[in-house]
Amino acid sequence: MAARDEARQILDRADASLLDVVDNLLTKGVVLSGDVVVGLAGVDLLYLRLSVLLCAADRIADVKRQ
Amino acid sequence: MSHYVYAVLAEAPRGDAGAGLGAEPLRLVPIGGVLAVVGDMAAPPAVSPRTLQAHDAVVRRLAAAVDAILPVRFGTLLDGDTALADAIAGRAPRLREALALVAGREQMTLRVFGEAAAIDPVAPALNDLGPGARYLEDRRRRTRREAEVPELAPLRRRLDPLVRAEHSHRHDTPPLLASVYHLIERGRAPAYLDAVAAGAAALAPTRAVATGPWPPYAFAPEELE
Repeated sequence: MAARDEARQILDRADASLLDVVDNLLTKGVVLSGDVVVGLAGVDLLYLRLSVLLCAADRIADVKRQ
Repeated sequence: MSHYVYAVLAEAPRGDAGAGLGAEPLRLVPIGGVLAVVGDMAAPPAVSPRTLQAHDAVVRRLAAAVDAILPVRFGTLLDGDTALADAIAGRAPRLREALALVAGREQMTLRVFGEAAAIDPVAPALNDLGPGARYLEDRRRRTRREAEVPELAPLRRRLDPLVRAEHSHRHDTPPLLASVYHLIERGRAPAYLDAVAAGAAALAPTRAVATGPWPPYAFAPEELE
């Protein structure tokens, strides 16, 4: 449960640059093992939240530019 | 002890490979004509802002010290030398091909926001086709739209001279319409950002937000064989 809470906090606190890091590291890159996703608790939640938060990435970028 | 894999390289980095996200020393393991960059770990790292950014920092440091790098997905822990060799050897030709593509290049990420462009209705001449043919035609158009991101058309003239390869992912969850990943020559990020800024007015009401440069995460082979 702690891992899921931590996963939620990652994206709740994310700025635009961390969203890109999450997108790059968890959904891109060479896949060498099918065990990667199931081996990381909370990643399923991250995927779901990432999709929602990327929708707000332009708003976050606006705030950073101001 | 298991091997946590950070990246695949074409050649050894200039200087010391340094340490991994857990301060473990990094090693280069030659397999099938490529080099795997690994650190010894007992368990995969927890997912946290610190570990994600530390992993990214390791990849960025390696990228700065080599001409070609393929980042490996976060959390890839393989159980010993045999598992590492098995995981890479079978994919070595694809990895070498991908390394050649990314050599001397880096990634820019473009998030496209706005209202989705309508898909062209099926041409009247196709109305006489049966339901199967119409379905296939609709699917072909959707696939083409996924690949081309038509909302970006007003930017293409400015970006095309800079872009060497492109991958796109269509979200269709307005306001986020698509994420587009561009491979550009290293050092051209300022020109890319300038091109996006200069094309903003022509793109309106669609908006594009560019970030980067990043190591070429989106240009690494993903499929498991």
